[in-house]
Amino acid sequence: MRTIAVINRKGGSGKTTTAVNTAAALAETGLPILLIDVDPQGSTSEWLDRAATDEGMFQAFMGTADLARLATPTDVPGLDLIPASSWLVTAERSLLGDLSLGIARAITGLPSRWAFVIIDCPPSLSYLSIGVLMGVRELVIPVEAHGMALSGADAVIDELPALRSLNPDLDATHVLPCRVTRTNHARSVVAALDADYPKLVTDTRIRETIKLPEAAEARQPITRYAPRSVAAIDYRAFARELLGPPATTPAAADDGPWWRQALARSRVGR
Amino acid sequence: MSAKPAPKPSRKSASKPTADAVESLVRSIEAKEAAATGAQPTDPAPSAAPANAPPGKPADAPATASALPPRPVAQRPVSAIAGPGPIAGLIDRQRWETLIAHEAQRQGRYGQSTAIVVAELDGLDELVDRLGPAAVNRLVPACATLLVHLARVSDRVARLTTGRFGILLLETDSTGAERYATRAAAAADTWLSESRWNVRLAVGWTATTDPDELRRGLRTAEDHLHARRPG
Repeated sequence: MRTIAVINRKGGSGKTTTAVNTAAALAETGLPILLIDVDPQGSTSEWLDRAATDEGMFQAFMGTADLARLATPTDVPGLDLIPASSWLVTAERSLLGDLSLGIARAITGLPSRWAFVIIDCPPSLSYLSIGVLMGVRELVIPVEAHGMALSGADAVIDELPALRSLNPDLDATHVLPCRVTRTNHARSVVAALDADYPKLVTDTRIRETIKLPEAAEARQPITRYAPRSVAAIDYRAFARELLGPPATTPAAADDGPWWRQALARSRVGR
Repeated sequence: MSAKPAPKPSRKSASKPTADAVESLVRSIEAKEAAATGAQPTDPAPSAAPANAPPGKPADAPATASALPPRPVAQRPVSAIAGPGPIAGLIDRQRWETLIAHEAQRQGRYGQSTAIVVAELDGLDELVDRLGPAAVNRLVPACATLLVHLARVSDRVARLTTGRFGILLLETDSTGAERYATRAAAAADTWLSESRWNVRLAVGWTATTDPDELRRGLRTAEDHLHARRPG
């Protein structure tokens, strides 16, 4: 099971867009996917037409209930969602570091029922986000192709050494350029990312399109709302990039479900 | 040819992260963000404001509240009086008293019903003896979160003593107070029984439309709590 946090310190960078549409694109390949909304704003839940719920997240992060039981199917086949909880709004103020530990425990305790667990984090490096980063193995940092957006990615990447001291299993980081246009400015921002983080920037670029906000308004991922749009194509490409190159040798019959075999062959990191 | 990267410490060899280590990291991140924006660093109990909040007011912003003459208690909004305190994110005893005085004045004008619920964690002393003060330091904020979670946005939760909380429920009658109190006790029982800490949450409440009774409301609710205790 691969666990991925979608995070950026800057709001409006495309975290929710990336979390929802990457999860949907992965689910399209037939893999079972779990999407968890840890952002108190609940945008991921809203995108998939699920209201924030009061049920269970408190108990799950306090260690007295099973986080996996909160997963409910969505309208996207193969995609389950744990929606945000309104409790998250006040949790950080009172629980502080214990909240982070509880979140990390809950994530690492998830059963291997899903191929990918994708977690949408709030736009800050706070106890909620750090708890997620303590429990996952990979990061996706969406970065808008705008000069003002670079600091958000820098803030997360600068903290990676400290985060790895809390979570040595934090392995791979994928910096995903988003909202990329054909302007010279966007090209220069992406070039700057490539220069600063040559081993982290993904091959995929998510192109700017009005279809993405429309999809959010329609409460559908882009792969269903506009399956032939450039954004759907790009998120499918990113999903393939996450999965890695296809196998060239047949898997052994007793290696478990086909998606486990696919994951075993996929690359983690670059 | 690039050098081999240093081997990463495995999860088995690394010591488990602690809450203190996490809090230290968050404080250092907040200090860096504050330095970058020129703002003052936050206190050890950070607020829920997002890290990318605007850096500060523009130079031509109107005068702050501190530059204006102080207004009488009844004219200040509740939120200005009962802001969160540093302990467990709740208001403290002193702010609670101010809040009650404000609410009693408001009640005198409008005659609405206001309820006070008292919730107390029974068994904390024994818990300290068994597991040390760290267990209480973990339990109390978690209980506070539960009480805040069950309250409405307009309600206020105060930490009165180590394990005793006061909850002010605006526009609430005795039925509403009982409903809140029993939900809080039931939720706490479910959670605490699974933890095997041998601690329970005792509750008492009162509701009134009389300002003088409201000023005595905490004592009334405490008497109710003691009367409801088993044995």
